[in-house]
Amino acid sequence: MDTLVEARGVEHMIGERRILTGLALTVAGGEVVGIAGPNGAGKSTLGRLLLGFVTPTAGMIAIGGTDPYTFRRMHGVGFLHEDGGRGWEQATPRALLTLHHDDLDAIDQDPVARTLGIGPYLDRRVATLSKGQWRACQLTMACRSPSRFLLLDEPEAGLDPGAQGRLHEVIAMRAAAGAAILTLSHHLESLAVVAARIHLLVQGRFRDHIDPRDLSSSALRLRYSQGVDAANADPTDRARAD
Amino acid sequence: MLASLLVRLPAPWRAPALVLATWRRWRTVLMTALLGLVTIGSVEIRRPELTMSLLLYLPPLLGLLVMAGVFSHWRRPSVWTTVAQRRGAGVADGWRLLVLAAALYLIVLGPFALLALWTMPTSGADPSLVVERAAVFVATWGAVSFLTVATVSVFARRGVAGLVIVWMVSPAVLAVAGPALGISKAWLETLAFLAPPFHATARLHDVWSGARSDLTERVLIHLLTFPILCLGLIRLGLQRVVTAPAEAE
Repeated sequence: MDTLVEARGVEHMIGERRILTGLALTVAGGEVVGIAGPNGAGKSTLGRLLLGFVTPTAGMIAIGGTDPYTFRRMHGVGFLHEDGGRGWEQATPRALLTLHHDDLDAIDQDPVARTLGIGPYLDRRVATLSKGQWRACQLTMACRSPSRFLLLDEPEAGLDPGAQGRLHEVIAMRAAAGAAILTLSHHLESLAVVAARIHLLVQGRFRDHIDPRDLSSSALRLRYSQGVDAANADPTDRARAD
Repeated sequence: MLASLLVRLPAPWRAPALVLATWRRWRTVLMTALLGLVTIGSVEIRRPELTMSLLLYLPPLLGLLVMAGVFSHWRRPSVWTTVAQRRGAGVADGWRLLVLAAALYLIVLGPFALLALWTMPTSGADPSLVVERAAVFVATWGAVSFLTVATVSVFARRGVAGLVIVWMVSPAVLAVAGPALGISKAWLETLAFLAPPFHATARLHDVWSGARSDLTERVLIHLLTFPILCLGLIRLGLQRVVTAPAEAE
């Protein structure tokens, strides 16, 4: 598998505050990598850097051999964001899907749309959808993107257990088709189902690199807690976080 | 229905069209305009000062309503992140959005201007000359107002109306405060070229008809350089939005 996403020595500061420190990351085509961490760990900032919305203060990020902004402009990115549907209340999911695709009829038959079960509400206004239904539509938009790079920020948020299962199917489907997928999440169990590796991000640093395949749920939670506790006990990091 | 319309558009125009279609206030703008037209048509304004006020204040007000609203909607994180993940997303989206907003602005302003010109009282003067003068003014002032508001709307996230007013009245402020601050006349004249050319639009018909040929050079230079200044600033503003939208929010 060829490496599609590569980050080395990434640092990011907002004003005087250090948000990310010395991050190194690779994601290959066909690979699913998870980033787990508590609130405020820097996951969403890392996402913005990988999308080229923000330039890192130091270090290097390359996607497909170029910088994230150029990659996004040239190839697009399948991006699932946390922000909800504010602003799109008057649109229908089908109208939003025209941003990526020309064939309206094919949307109903698309494997991703079928797996996520959005057919019944493709033509309803976003304002009338439940949070879970809108999330499934957003996931369809991100995962139907023709891009080779998908970045999913909290993909399980708002999904019921059945929909989470369908989400895992879709992620596996896109990975099998060669996409490099990075998921940012609090949900360790969900990450363990889909990701080959989980990087534990706490206070802007990777504290642990976990292979979830051989770990039970309780062992996974223990590794997570140990990583978070170790970071919180580090006086240097506490001072920086303050 | 929206999806069927969008899919007929060339792919690069879909995102700007979707942004404009989902901006909630365009219906309000059109309905208000329609109501205004009916009112003006039924009352039939016969007071010259009212008609001239309408032609003077309507373009910047409409520009503010349309441009500030549309660009603020485009910059919403949920809207921006959805359209920005497409291949080819970038500064060109901003220009296309500007073209669509200009079309909406013209759709609303056009009928108002035509009705005002149609019903314009002439007070004994040559009616064709009065209407011609007003038509030249409203066409030029409409374009200047649009460019002014568009430039500020692309750059500023808040206080667009205030900034537009400050920019528009800056020549008058400088004219009053400049000498007190010790600014030379040459500098004041140069600085005036950075402000919207209100005086040039007001004098354009005189220059056009040869009544003020002494102003030709100044009026034409200001009217030609202002769009270049605005388009350059808009280009910079759009570049800033597309390269750092998350920080911008």
